[in-house]
Amino acid sequence: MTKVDPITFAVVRNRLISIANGMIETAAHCGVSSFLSTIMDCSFAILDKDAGIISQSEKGILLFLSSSSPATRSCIDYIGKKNIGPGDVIVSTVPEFTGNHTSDAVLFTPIFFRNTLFGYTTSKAHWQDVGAKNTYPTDATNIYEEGLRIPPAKLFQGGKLQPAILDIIKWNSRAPEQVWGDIQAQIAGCHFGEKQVNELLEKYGIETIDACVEEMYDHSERLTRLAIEKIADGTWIAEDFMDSNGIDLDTPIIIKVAVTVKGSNITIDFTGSDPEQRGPMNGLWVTTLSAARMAVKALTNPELPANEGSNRPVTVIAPKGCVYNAGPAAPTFLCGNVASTILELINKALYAVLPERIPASSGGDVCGMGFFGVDIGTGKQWATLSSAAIGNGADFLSDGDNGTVHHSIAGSAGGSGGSIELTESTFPLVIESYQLVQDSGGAGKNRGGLGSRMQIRLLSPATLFAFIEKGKAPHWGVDGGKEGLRNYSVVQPKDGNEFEVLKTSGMQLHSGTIVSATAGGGGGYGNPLERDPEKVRRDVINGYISEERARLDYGVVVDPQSFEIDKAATRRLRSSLLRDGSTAK
Amino acid sequence: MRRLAVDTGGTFTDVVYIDDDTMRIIVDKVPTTPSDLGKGVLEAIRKINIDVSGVALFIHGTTAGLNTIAQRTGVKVGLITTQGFTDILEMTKSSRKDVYNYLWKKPEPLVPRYLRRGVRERTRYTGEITERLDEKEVKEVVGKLKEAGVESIAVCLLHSYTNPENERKIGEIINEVWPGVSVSLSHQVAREVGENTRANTTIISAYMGKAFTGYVSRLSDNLKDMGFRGQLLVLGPSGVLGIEAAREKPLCSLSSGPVGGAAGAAYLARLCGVKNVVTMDVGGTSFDVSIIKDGVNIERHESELMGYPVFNAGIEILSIGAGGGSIARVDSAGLLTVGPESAGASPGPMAYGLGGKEPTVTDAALVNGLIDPDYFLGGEVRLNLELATRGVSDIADKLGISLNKAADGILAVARNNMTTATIEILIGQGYDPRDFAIMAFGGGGGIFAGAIARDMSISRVIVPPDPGVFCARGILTMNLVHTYAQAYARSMDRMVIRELDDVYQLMETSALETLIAEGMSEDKIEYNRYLDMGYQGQYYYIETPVPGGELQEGAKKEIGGSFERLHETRYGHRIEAPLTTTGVRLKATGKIKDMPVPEIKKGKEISRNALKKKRKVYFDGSFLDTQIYERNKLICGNTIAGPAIIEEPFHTTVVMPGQILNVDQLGNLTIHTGGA
Repeated sequence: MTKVDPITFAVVRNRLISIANGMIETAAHCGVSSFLSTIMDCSFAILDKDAGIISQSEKGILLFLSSSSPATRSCIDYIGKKNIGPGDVIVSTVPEFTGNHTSDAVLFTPIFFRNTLFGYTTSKAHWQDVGAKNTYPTDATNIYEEGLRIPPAKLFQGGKLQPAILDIIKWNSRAPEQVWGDIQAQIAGCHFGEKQVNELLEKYGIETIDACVEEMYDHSERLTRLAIEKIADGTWIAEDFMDSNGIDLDTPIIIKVAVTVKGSNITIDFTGSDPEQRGPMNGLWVTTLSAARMAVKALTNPELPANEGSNRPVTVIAPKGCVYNAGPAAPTFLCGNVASTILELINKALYAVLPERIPASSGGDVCGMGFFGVDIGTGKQWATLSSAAIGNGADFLSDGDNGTVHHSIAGSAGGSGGSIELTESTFPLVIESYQLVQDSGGAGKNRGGLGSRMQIRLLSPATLFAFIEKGKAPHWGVDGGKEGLRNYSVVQPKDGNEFEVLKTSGMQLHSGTIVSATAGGGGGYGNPLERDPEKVRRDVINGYISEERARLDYGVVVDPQSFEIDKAATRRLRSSLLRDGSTAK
Repeated sequence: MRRLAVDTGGTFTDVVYIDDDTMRIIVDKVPTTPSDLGKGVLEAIRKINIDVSGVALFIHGTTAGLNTIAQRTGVKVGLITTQGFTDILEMTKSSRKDVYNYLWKKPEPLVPRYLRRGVRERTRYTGEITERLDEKEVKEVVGKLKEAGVESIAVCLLHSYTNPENERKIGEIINEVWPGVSVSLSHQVAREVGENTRANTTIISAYMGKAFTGYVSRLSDNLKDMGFRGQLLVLGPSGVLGIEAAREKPLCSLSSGPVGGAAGAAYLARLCGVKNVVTMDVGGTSFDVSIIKDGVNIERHESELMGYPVFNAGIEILSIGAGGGSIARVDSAGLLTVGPESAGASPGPMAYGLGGKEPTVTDAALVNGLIDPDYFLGGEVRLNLELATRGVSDIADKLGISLNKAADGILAVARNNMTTATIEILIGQGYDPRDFAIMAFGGGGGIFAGAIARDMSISRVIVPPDPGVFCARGILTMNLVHTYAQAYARSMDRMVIRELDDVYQLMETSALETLIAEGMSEDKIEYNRYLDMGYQGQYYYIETPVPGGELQEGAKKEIGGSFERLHETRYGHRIEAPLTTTGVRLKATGKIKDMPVPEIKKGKEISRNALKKKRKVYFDGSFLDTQIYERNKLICGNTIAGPAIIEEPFHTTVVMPGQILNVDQLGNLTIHTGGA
């Protein structure tokens, strides 16, 4: 293999990363649904000829990102590498292959350079509707209720559209035009990448680029191994639970991980987690693998761009038939929520040995809810996600961020899509308010970030779906920090009593119904009695915490009028709280 | 006409004086005076010793506004917004930047939560007001903000871009109950969709407004005291503007010097008949890159300012932390990194001998012979080779390589950061670097450009005259420009062309008034109209040109056709979907008399006194005997083969081995790399 000089290597490496970023920008720019354009519920990547990941976009859904390689590989295996030629565009929505629910379609194109296969440009994007029993089924009991499964198929062959495949997609969607518009955007993103990579190949030659890619992998692997070596050897375990499987709403799902660090290798083992569920809270192997790899990357070299090399030291074990590795007939529509739990479960296990890299629990979930229906004003099918922003966990350095997105979707704008004004002008709803929730951040020496509440009033009848997790499972603090507020949503019918919802599917709501989504806060770090009273006072002034919680959690007495600290009372209160141990661990 | 430009940068304040009639040009620089920027400006003018009273045009690029934000020295701002939305600043742009880093933090909002107050009111996106303002409540809120000691009030209500009535009313109430307090209304600052960006833009304007207008007024007075009687103009994001307009829109001053360089480069490129240029401005702390396509600067509407999103239409500049002062370090994994931390002007590179403890790019260039210790800033600053060597050898020890290899590595890493940024901005726009020429300036542009061009297969590098003060020179080539934007959400088939025409007419009337007040005559004014367009459902738009004059019904088809062509060119496909518009834009340009660029003497032979000396310079692994030339002695027609170095007081141009340099009529140095 050619040895590349370090400068060519650096240039090619950075170029490959920026091409992946250009791919997602291109797709977002021509996407026609909010899922693709504003929320960026998608991901783009460049793969090598064995579908190993060379580079991936730094925006979008990170969990998708890390799974694009195994997902594309299984589609290639299905079709057969030999059968893929220039100008083909291949698409699939089979969860077993894609690692995602039926709505998240994998679409990829091969990169041929002078008739030699170099690799692939691949994408995942959320299609607005794929004809499930309803747009977002959270109570499906088998895969057949979850909509169209397109086995890996050529939408374009040799550059020619295959109308039958497109027709099948359109005929099975409640929103055919939006889906076709977004597919074209996905293709535009992949073609952009294909063209740019080809120019790179033209300029440097395939041997040099291959050598650069190999060096990219080796370089990432070296740095990942160095970072793993710094973690104390041993097995670190954690246990937590997920709220419910979508059907048995009162039965938690136990999840377990054992992380074994040995030298420069790390093994993530989910053995002992509950078995596959009868509701759609089932994880798929592809995403379990990717989420575990992503967790390791975030804890070792977050600044490094992700590629195949950083995966090499990581072994993942999830026994077949467990909730993290469900079988092909299992309902999996909420597999994204399941995968999201992996990041913080691993954090929980490794906090003991990596406190400088790990914050307390965040809101822990994408806090997903949304609506679909036919707009009575325009007669058009619409669908949107309207999640509120969660708080992040505090860490040893500082307070958690207020109102942000979960790590698993860090490059996405979250369900609010980045703009109230845009949401209101696109969908038949009014956002009555969107505020941080006082006292929602877990108390601590460093405070957890605040969650938020979004109040939505419907202007048209609509169907509500919600897939909120961490409505019961704790937003844990670390080192004596307290829990943050849980996630939940409340439906207030126009006439009738309000009620709480965590997961629901196909709930018909009248125009005028108000739904308020509350996204919880992050956990705190350290004993709140050790928080600088001046910081507590500022939090009271800013309304991040109430004067009452300042007293009860932090032992700081702040005058509600003058906002002055009563120093003597504070001293007394703090020492008595410390004595009782009512706050401290 | 006699023109004067002063460009205040992070490290130096540059001055350029041009007399059109005699073609006399004076350039110089003085250290920037951070505590009182105006002082440096006046010093620079004094230093070149000209008759200020004869100057007709004084154009100033300043970082006064930018510094206010960077150093958090703005006024205490209160925000009034729609009740229920006081936290939008902290939330709606919720995606994270450093995506894998769990510890990444958003920037603190510029207005703390207790100074963000909601009032009951509601305007829909259609413009319908569904809840009227409660005057009493507004008065109470203003009273509370006053009590809290705010000095400026920003108002940003939901959907005020479509119907600003409630916002305007709040403005009136504030004036009534608290006359004299400064007020920024979002629909006046940026009438665009997107509450978070609009609110941030309004707040930044309120935050820095006072410091900036104070600065401009003081400068204006000081100039008068010096005898200046001409017109004072301020550098804006895509042109220059009068101080009245600048006071009204202080935000426009936030694009400083680099914009001048980009504009000057476009001007020069047009003169030389070069269509596509990527500009590289290498300063002490930053590397700024911009694109010129078909002779025109690429612009953008939205940008990010220290982590805050803002609407501020103008020339697109990508800036990264890489320059002469960038610090070199070896990380724990043995990886050499350069920048973004900079030693700045003080202590500066170790070679300055001002107490710098870490080696910088300048130190590395000195060690390898690329710059002359006795001719830095024309000899004003003497560089200490021994100190530089000490710093670089420390890096060499850590890496286990030779001193010169280490210095070369530092330069290579810095250069690679620059190359990456350049590739990113070009590819982001869908351009192929090989279709571009590099124009290099700033103190260090010429040191890197030849090598960058080689890395990127770019065939040509142009080093313009006075590259060390090129931004200041560029400012003098800029026209008066005022941009207008207004949200305009319509579906194309239902859009009434008369209504659109009215919007343009109104904008053009307002532009005309402003430009006339700035001394422009009507025949020198040019309007460029654009419509932000997309397919239904798309969030991003394409700025589509719109014909001028009175618009007829047929214009719809023409504009729609242009949009679809642009979409196809950019993304490769058209979509069968209705077309929609999101915004109306106008750029009004008042043409200032072209700045002449003097021609230099012609000939073939290199004059004997142009060749200063020979020294050993380290290139690609070994020391080569290298000819050193004095730029100002070179004449048009001269050709020099690399390795060679061309020196001038504020700049050094490196010609790599194998590259050929030509001098043209306008005094440009053009390096032919032999690539692509």
